[in-house]
Amino acid sequence: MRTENIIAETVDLSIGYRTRNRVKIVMDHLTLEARKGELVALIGRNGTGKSTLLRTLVGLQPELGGRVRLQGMPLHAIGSSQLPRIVSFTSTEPVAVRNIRVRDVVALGRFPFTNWIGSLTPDDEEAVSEALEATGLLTLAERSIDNISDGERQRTLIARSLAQDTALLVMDEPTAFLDLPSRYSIVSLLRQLTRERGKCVIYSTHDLDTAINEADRIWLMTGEGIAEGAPEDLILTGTVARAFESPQLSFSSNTGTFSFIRKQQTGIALEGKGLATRLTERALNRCGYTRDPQASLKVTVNESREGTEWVVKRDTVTEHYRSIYDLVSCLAEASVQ
Amino acid sequence: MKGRSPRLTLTMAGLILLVALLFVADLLIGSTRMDAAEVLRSLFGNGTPGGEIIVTQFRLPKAITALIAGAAMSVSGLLMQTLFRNPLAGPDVLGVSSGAGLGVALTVLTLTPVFTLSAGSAMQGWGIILAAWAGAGAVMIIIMAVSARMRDIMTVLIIGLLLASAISAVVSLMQYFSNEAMLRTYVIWTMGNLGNISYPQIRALALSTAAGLIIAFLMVKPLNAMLLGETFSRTVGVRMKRTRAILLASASILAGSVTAFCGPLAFIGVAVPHIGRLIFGTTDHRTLMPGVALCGSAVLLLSDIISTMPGGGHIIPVNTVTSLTGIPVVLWIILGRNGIGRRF
Amino acid sequence: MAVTVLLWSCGHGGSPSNLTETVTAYAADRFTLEEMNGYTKLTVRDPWQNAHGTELYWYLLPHGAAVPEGVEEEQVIRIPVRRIICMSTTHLAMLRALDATDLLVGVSGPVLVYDSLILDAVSRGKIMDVGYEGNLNNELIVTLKPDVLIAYGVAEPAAGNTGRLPALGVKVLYNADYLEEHPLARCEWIRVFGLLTGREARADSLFREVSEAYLGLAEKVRNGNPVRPDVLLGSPWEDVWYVSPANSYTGRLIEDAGGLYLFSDLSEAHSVPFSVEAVFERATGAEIWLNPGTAESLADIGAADHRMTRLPVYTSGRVWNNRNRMTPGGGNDYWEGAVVRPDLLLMDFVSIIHPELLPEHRHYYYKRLQ
Repeated sequence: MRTENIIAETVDLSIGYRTRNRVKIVMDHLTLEARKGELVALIGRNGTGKSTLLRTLVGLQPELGGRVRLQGMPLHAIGSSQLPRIVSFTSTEPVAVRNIRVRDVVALGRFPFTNWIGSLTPDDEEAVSEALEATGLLTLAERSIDNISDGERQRTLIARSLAQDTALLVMDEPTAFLDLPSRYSIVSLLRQLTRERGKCVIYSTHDLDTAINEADRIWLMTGEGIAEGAPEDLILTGTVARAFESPQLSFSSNTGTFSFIRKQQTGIALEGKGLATRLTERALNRCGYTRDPQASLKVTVNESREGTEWVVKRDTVTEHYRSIYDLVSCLAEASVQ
Repeated sequence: MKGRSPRLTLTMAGLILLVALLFVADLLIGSTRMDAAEVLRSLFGNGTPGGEIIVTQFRLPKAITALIAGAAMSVSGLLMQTLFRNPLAGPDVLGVSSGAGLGVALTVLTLTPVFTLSAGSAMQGWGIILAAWAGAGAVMIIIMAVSARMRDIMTVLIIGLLLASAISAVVSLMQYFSNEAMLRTYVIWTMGNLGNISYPQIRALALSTAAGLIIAFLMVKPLNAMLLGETFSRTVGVRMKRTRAILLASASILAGSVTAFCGPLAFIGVAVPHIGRLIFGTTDHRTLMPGVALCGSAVLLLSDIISTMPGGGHIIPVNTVTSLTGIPVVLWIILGRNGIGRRF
Repeated sequence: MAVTVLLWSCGHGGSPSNLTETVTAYAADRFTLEEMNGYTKLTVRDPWQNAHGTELYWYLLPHGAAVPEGVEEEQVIRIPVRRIICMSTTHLAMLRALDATDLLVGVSGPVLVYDSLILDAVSRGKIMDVGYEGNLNNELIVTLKPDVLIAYGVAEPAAGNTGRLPALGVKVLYNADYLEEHPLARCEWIRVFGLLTGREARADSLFREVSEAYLGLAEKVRNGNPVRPDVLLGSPWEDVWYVSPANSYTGRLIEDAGGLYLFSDLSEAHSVPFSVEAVFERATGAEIWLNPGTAESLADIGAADHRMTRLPVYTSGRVWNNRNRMTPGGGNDYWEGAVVRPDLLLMDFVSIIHPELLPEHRHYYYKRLQ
């Protein structure tokens, strides 16, 4: 393991807050690392201190004990003009400005490099254009930032970090407030940055699906500390399950997904093959039924060229339905009687 | 500067032209009847002795003062609005005007004036001005000390406002115990005045305004970064404590100097930056700062012209005019399309 | 003025003590004295600004006399009074002129008093400070048990001011002297004080002497020199100059002294704010400048507004201010003693405006600024 590949590391770090007379330690003995070309997802339940950790990494909050090292150098030894060339930070603060173009916001990422008045050299312009292109914002570049959607605004902030051209990008919940497709596209973009440009990206998220599927390394923050490793390692050791399971929620190591824990279920016999049958089973599970070949209640899924039909046989009564919804609601009515 | 559109250049040029026109108009329009030819002759030393005195001792100093003071107060307001991220912030938010008022009150409202200067000295006529400067300077030092100790800029804002209120209360107390002549002198000072300023005083005002404006313009880059929030600014390399101190100093120098010479000028600092944003359609301080300065000059020159409108030798005090024009602007901010506080 | 002279020659030499005869004041138009059967009725008119048609009545009864029918006790003042509180320094001057200052038990704002004996009495605690209008020490006033409190009204009395005192049993007599427009009218109020203090004869004779001297001098000026120099009044306050109306107290003095007030065409009743530029233009024609604010020297004027140094009248130095008799505390005899000596005041004015008419006179209330 080559140490020059380690972009960020913490050694026995304590994080927390310092007020006038008190010091509150949120978490201590944190020893973590993140490497060049790695996508690191910081996950954990609300209130565990994810923001505090990220902000301590970039120097916005003081190290209350231990050390942070960026590119091998201790954080406190890095000058204030050198630091922004090493790490960029995207926070959760909303942008509340008008009348400033997307391009100009991205250009502010070149702040550490520009002259006293902020003029952009051709190199700076190029970095800006590249950042806009990578985030798919070229067509919106001339629009004012208050004139675009939330997702586009989020991408603008990411483009800004990109334009800063740092080896390390730290992002606090970059996918918050975004719809599903946008969330996926952001994570895919981050993935690209690490793979194609060799950057190290550390980001916090509540989006467990994408984190587990796309991240190279997970930092899982619980009340006791941080567990670190590849997503699969953490699933294997049951760490993910332990961190997130609850009486209502169960984690399947097999599929790597969460599902609701269902209460006592009635038996139902299900016959059929294919996608329609699998989906029918899901719907029946949701409504409190479990597959039991011996059950007196029986559902048959008939797929034909004219469409799909559901046949319910209860004792002597037979009913036909044309959609899963109809099937399920009538079963529900029946069970009430 | 790459990226500056022809529209911006055109607007700036148009504004410069407007300021020049208003300057000339302010010279031509006054409380006494003088035709344009006579005014121009007086400017070049060819007018009647009476006319020359009117133009060179009354109208020209007034116009120059309006030009300088308008720019200074507006830029001071712009700095405050960006620093505090508050569209209603203005130079008086720091209590600098109140501090100046306290200095003047100590000179004018007490029976044994604190700042009497011997009449024969070279500093004659500067008594009130120096007192106001000292008061403004004292407040500036207090605010900067507070800012150095407080993490949150909002705390500084609140303390500035409280300081302004406290000083006002003290001055009210002093007014209560003073006699009519003193009261009238103080009250008239608070109405703002552009006329009673001699050329040496104009020089001093110009110097301090130039200093303040230069410092302010050197800060455009961090100001632009601050538009995106304090967290962003810090992570991109802005040294917040130092930047804050410089901005507070610059704004105080600009507002304090103007208040010392002209009394507290109302609303210019709050309203003009918004006019600037409206005209230029940008929040980029590289354009906005010179733009706002020009707008401020234009607005104050216009206010001076309007103040002589009643005619027949009667005038409206300049603060009344700036308030009456400033209040609609502030209302427009609050009731505007996007509402206050949601977008800045 | 002519009417007043006529009236005076009619009443000259006699004292108005006919039964039931109405005697109007000679020059003053804000009070009337009516001699009734055994008492005098005093009517005070419009004793505050913007009062129109307001009349206040007082019944001045000797001690022991019965209150006439239809008259309330609150409207009665027993004369001669033994304890007086005065709110204005002009009232003090009138008492001084009548040698009645020992009746004084309270004053307002002692720091601005010129009379040194009164100041001394205040410092020894013999006369109390009752506070200012708007912040009167009502409790103190009541404990002083004045027979009458002489006040001056600026606006209609509100509950917070002297308006509350009658309810507390204190008799408040509003003196309208400062609202009188002619110097002799103001002086004539001494006759009211004369009645109150039981020194009517003294008051009447004083008023007679002063009127004769004043009117005589005015006559002399009229017959003497027809040339009337322009006179500028007041001073600029930053961007504004409050110009006094033509028929003001000082305006009359200027006219009687043979000068022409620069704004004699102004018909307003109150002072009008002008721009300094407008006043300056007219002031370039002034030959004499009076009452430039609180200036004690020409340098003071220049320091307050450098533009004034360009006025010809400034360069000529013919600038006078009424600050010749002042105390360190700020008391000015112009606002005090001058009210009972308008003749001296007129002499000051004449010797300023037409020095050739009074070459021997030494300025009393006025001093030339250096």
